[in-house]
Amino acid sequence: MKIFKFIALSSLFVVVGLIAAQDVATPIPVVTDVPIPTQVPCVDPAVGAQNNRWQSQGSNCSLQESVVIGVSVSYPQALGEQYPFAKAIMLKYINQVRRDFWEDVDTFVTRPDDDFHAWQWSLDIKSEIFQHSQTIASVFFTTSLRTGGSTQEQTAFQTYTFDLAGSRTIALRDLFVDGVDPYTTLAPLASAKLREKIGDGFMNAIVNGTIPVPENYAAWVLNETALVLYFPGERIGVAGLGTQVVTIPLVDLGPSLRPEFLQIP
Amino acid sequence: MRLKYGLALLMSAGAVLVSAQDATPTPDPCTDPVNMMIHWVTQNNDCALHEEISFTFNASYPHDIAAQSPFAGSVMLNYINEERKQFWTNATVGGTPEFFGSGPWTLDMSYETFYHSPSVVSVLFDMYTYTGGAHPNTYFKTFTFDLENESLYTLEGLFQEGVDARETLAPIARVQLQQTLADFPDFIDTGTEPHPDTTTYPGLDNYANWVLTEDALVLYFPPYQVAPYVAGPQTVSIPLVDLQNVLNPAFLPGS
Repeated sequence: MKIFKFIALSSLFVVVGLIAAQDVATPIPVVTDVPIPTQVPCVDPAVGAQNNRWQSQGSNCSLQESVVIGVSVSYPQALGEQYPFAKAIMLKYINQVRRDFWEDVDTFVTRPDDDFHAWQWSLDIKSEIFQHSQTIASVFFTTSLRTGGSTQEQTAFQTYTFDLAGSRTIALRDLFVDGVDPYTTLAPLASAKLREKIGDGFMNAIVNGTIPVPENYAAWVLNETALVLYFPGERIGVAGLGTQVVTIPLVDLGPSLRPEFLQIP
Repeated sequence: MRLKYGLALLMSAGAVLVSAQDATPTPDPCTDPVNMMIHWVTQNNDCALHEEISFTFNASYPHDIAAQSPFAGSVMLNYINEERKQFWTNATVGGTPEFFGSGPWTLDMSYETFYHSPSVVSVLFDMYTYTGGAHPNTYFKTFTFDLENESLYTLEGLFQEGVDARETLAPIARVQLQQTLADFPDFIDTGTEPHPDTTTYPGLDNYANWVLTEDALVLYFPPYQVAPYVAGPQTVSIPLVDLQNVLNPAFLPGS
């Protein structure tokens, strides 16, 4: 009831104020919903001093906000030009990552009440090509993503190995003879190499990161003489040390490997 | 003779056809056949794609006026915050860059102050914006403050009781504008209409932007209001003495 009285009285006051203003041309008070600024210069009281982004410049209070969003992608031109099937596969991956990135931009940058607009946004996809033979080539994509206030990048890998004569991709399983499980074959080799590289102090993490499941062996390429496995640092518990690369000479895989992959040039 | 000419013509036509075939551009090996609008280029031995879009919001307001009048400070901040919120809300890319252009999306809010007297000051906010259209745009927002009484003037408040401010200003503005924009009488008539039909554009006010200088009332018209975009924004400056019969005496020079 008190509220209604207050509103009625306030309205009456405003109407009387308006009439009086017209009569004598006195200024018309305008009520705004922004609190009165404090004595601290250039602080928006709606935001508070802690999150204030306004700056004092001479007699100005200035606010400057800027977001630059960049995408940079590359893939091997000659491979794509000569083998349209490989180009289609690489572009499918690139386009999906790129589309997801711009969708995230759309979702977050346009939220003015948050700090998302002040984030760094970039997507960088780099590629490297490895030639095992005239007809077998691997492409290694490194995707670096920044979608946050911190400067830390998120890195992901994607690899493809192409059978250029057969116009198809080669899966890890395809390297091995029938009846051989690639993951249980590779796990002890990878684990031993990692222990050599980063020491026994990370034993538990290494064991977990090399458990013989496809996720742990998703990134690999074939070069002329070796199978190269990539383990993101965080997967094997050594995020600070970065990506660990394990090179397994093809000869070490011996009879487990299909003969055509043992024909080292 | 005729045969010679005929043969020559035929040969020329053939040559044109052959050269037309030669001139047919070979497709760039980096083109994505599924997404032709994505701009891949050949770079070193790679196919490369570089996309960048930027969003920039800049604003400023007069600190001295805000310090002198917290009310004026809050009005200006309130306005800037609304514009800022709108800008970032609209800063949507709506898909991948080939469909929304590269910007840079911009909203620059600069200001200018005009003192009519030590306690009556106008602030003109000049907005320069680009949000992906054919060209950038400009619009205005003005406030006239009474710093002593912590309040805001309206256009009507400048005039005597019973005077229709817009009806008074329209003919004066039209005469001035016709001197420089004689080619656009329709633009001028529509853009200076004292009481436009607000059915289509609710809240439309052709006299929304004005400032008081020491001795004049200055009207601001953004691009498109009284002339095409290419003519730019327009101003009409009306000496206050010319309005002495209708103006509240408090605003006459020397009062």
